[in-house]
Amino acid sequence: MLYQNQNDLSDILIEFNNVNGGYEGEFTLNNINLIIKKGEFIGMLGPSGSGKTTLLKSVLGDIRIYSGEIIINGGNGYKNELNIGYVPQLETIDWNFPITVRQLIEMGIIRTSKYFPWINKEEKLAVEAISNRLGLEDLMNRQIRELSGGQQQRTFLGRALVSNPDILILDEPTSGVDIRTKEEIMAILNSLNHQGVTILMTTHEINSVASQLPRVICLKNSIIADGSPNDIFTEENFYATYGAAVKTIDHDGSKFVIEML
Amino acid sequence: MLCALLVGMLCGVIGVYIVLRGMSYIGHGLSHAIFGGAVVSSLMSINFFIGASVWGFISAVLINLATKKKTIGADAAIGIITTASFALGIAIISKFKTFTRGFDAALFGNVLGITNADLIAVIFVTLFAFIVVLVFYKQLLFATFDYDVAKYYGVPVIWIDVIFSMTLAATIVVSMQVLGVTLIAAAVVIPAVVSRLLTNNFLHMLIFSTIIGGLCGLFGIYLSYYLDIASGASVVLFSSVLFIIALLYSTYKGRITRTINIRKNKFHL
Repeated sequence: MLYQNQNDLSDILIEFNNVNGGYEGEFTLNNINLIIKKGEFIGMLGPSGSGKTTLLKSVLGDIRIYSGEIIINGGNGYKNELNIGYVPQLETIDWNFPITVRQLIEMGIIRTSKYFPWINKEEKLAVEAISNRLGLEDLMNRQIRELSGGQQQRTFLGRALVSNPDILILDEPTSGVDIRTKEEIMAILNSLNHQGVTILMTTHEINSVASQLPRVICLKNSIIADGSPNDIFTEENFYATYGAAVKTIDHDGSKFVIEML
Repeated sequence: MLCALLVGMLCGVIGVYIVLRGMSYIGHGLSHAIFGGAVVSSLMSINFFIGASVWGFISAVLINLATKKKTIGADAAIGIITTASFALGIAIISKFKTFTRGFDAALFGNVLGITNADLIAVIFVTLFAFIVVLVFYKQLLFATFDYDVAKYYGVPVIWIDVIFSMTLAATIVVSMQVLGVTLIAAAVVIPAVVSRLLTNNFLHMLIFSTIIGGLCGLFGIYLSYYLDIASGASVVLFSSVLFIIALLYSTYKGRITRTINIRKNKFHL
């Protein structure tokens, strides 16, 4: 299924101007020029170490920018001016932690409700609303290990979305899940995007995820290609990104990639 | 009795964060580190609570920092920092022989040796710890569950670590007289582990651990009095019995749940 962007994409949310950045003196991002508009659904492709997660963390304000600038909402600065809903890789989660779905979603309102264990009526309503929207209302008292892969991802989406963020950032949301769960996660993300949520995510899955998105960025420390899969899924771009030979084919209006082993 | 109850509750509530952060060894390590601080305080004629607390706080912050460096495991960081501090204490004692507090009490705990000043310190630290846990409940929970992501949601993780390290150091200092250097670790860890076996809910775990810690302190001191054994040892032995009961209960409950699920699945088929 090809996800089409139906939002009005006139407002710029994040703008990278000649950004060079990384960790501890290393230049993981080289000369990044990128514009992310409100309501976009963007996937980032690239091999391990290509700077995908670093680029996400640059939006989160967690890496050092050596030169260039990142303009958020038209002004200079990083995370403080942007309400970000971040969903980490599920593989990094401690599933034995004694926390319920409700407690996890409530974590997401910590920006506005910092102190004491309780939350106010308005915040309770926000938690109820997001759990209903994601179909979690019957699972609220379950511990997170007791959920299926799709339910776990929906719970973390709930935490990210409960504060009504400007942008949803996901680090490989379909990593390590089965085909059905992958479809479920992508359908939810698509539905959220249609409701106006801006989404920026990384992925390793070219055919099952990236080829379905409205906009894809191929990254190998700098941007190799940026556009719709039909425009940028070329053998040259994949060779420049991955250093591996692939063949592209058209099927049902979408472009797919075949690895040439 | 009041002192033992409060120390038990204090160790119970702090233990939850220690166990869930995977730093169960820190109680053991920090108490050894604080022993070094206590000796240095004695040598320099500084008040025991102030000297030992500052020493413990610095050790806890160093351990936290070392743990964040992913190349060093928490166990290694605790092992190096705290053993070095303990060794310093021993070195000073062997050189100057000026440590005035009872060795047996310091090592194994002696609730009968509690002074009014000790009791006031316990009450003050217990109040402080419960206020910290109550006020910073959400931030402590987020930082404990997912430290790296917490900062993206606006949690000041470094400050939360500093506040927690301060509370932990103060807990270990005031618990030393009741539980002893060698037995604090168990008193911190066991109530939290028992609670973890009983619930999958963080808030419930926090409440259960506080209650279980308090009960262990109270009944442990009773045992200490009637059996005429060191208070730290009796508290830990009582906690260990509760741990065995909880372990058996959770294993048995797990089997029952699995059986019910299998029957349900059969019914659906």
